Amino acid sequence: MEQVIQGKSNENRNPENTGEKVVVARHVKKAFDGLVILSNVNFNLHKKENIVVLGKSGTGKSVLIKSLVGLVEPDEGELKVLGKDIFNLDADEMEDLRREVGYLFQGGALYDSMNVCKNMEFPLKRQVKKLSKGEIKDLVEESLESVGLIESMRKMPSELSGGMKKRIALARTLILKPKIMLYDEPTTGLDPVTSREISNLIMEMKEKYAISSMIITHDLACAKLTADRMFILKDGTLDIEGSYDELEQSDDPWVRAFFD
Amino acid sequence: MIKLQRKNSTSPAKEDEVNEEEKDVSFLPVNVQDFFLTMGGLTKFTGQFFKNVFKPPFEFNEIFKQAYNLGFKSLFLVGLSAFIMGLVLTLQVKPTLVDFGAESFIPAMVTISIVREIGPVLTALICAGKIGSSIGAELGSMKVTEQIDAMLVSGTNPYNYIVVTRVLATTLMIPVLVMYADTVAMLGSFLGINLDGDVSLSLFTSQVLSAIDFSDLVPSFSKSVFFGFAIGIVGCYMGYNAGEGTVGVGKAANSSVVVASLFIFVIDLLAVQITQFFI
Ligand SMILES: Nc1ncnc2c1ncn2[C@@H]1O[C@H](COP(=O)(O)OP(=O)(O)OP(=O)(O)O)[C@@H](O)[C@H]1O
Ligand SMILES: [Mg+2]
Repeated sequence: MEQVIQGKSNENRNPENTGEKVVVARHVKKAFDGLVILSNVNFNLHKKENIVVLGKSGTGKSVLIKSLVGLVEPDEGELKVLGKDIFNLDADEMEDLRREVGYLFQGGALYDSMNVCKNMEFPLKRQVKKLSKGEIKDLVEESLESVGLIESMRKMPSELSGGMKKRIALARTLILKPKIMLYDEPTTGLDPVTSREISNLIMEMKEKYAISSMIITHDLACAKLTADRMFILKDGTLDIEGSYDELEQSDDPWVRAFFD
Repeated sequence: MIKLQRKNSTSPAKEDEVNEEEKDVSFLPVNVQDFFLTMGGLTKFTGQFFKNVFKPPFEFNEIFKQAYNLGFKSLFLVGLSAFIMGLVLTLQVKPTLVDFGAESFIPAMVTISIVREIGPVLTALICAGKIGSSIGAELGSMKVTEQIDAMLVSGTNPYNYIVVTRVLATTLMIPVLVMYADTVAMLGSFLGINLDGDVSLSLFTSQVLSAIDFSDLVPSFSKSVFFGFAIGIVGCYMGYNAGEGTVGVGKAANSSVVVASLFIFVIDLLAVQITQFFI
């Protein structure tokens, strides 16, 4: 099958891509019960770059980003995140690394037993660096403000709509000012207006804090707004790669299927 | 240590991994495999508990909250069951003892059986049902909705916050509930005696107190501590390792109760052996 653009040749197409690599994946493989999900994943994520991954449901997009934070352990390959080899970290080192990486779960994963405010404070209160009560309150308010949900501060997760949960979850992740953000379908299930707000927020965080992001989405509007580079996960590889326009103009029927 | 691994098992989160030799045990029947896998997992999980329990941050608020949720909210159920148990036991031994003209032994006999055996075991079984299943289901749903993963990813240790707090809460609360159950059961017994008799509360109390001594209370209290620990750790283990989806949550709740109840009987059996050895 013809690929849009072959692997390494375009690595420096985007001027920002000359920067340092925050994630390097080489020949990453993962199988569950003999069922191969990722067969040969190769990609780089550069500092202050957004990459978007498209892919059909069940192709292993979530597995891919989970492996970047050690929630899923790949079987083979090389995987470096912020210069650290994921395969050779002990529990403490992994904990340290995870503090640098934010992860927005597909379902939000808000803590059901805590209200929104407690949800936001939870990671902050358990950081190595102790913050004062006032600092925590300011951070929480600022974060909630940025997703437009300051008035929901005292609500329980069960009282929130799906979209609100997602935005709170996003705020809870961004409050830690991670170096890398992994977004698992940040706009799925949201109306177009809120989706655009979230996409803009992703861009704003990138500019403001030089965050590198990997965004998994089915939402082309979000992809168009946020992507520096795009990948399509197919047959366990990320071999189909290009900018949004390149992929959109591709005549590969497989790629076309996403845009039509 | 050899790590048992079924062919199709997925590898757990990385931090639990110790470099152990993996042995394929797929020649054993599935039930036997499951039994050993659960026991092995539980042993490792308990080890992790002791590794984490002295490690900051200490979640005192959460321990208190769980002690209230798990302990205080079981008072009614445990109290009612214990009251009925004391009453029924009294009513059942009464005719026999009356035949032998040994009516005055009723308080002593009921006290001994309640304090030594029925109080702790009944309370523990009720709590395995009520508390064990609720821990299993709660942690199970936290697991399947990725809340535990979310804690991990934010660089906090979910084990400290979720498991250690609950296990400490049950370990502290079950002995308290047992003492409470013993007391309420005695009140039931008092009522049973007075349904067609006339024994004053002070006489009853003095008979009860003279019947029990230190060698009854210490083993009873100690085994309650172990009951509490077993209920907490089993519930947490099952929830923490719940399978996918709502089915996983149901299974976690169910196996928490089954395995914890089994453990209660095993601990009871061990306790009686140990007690006889020392006394
Ligand atoms: N822990 C696991 N154990 C066994 N199989 C798993 C596990 N996690 C994921 N899988 C399998 O891996 C495949 C990919 O799952 P994944 O969640 O990554 O899909 P996805 O691309 O994110 O799909 P969606 O767009 O629906 O979220 C699925 O077939 C799933 O059944
Ligand atoms: Mg997914």
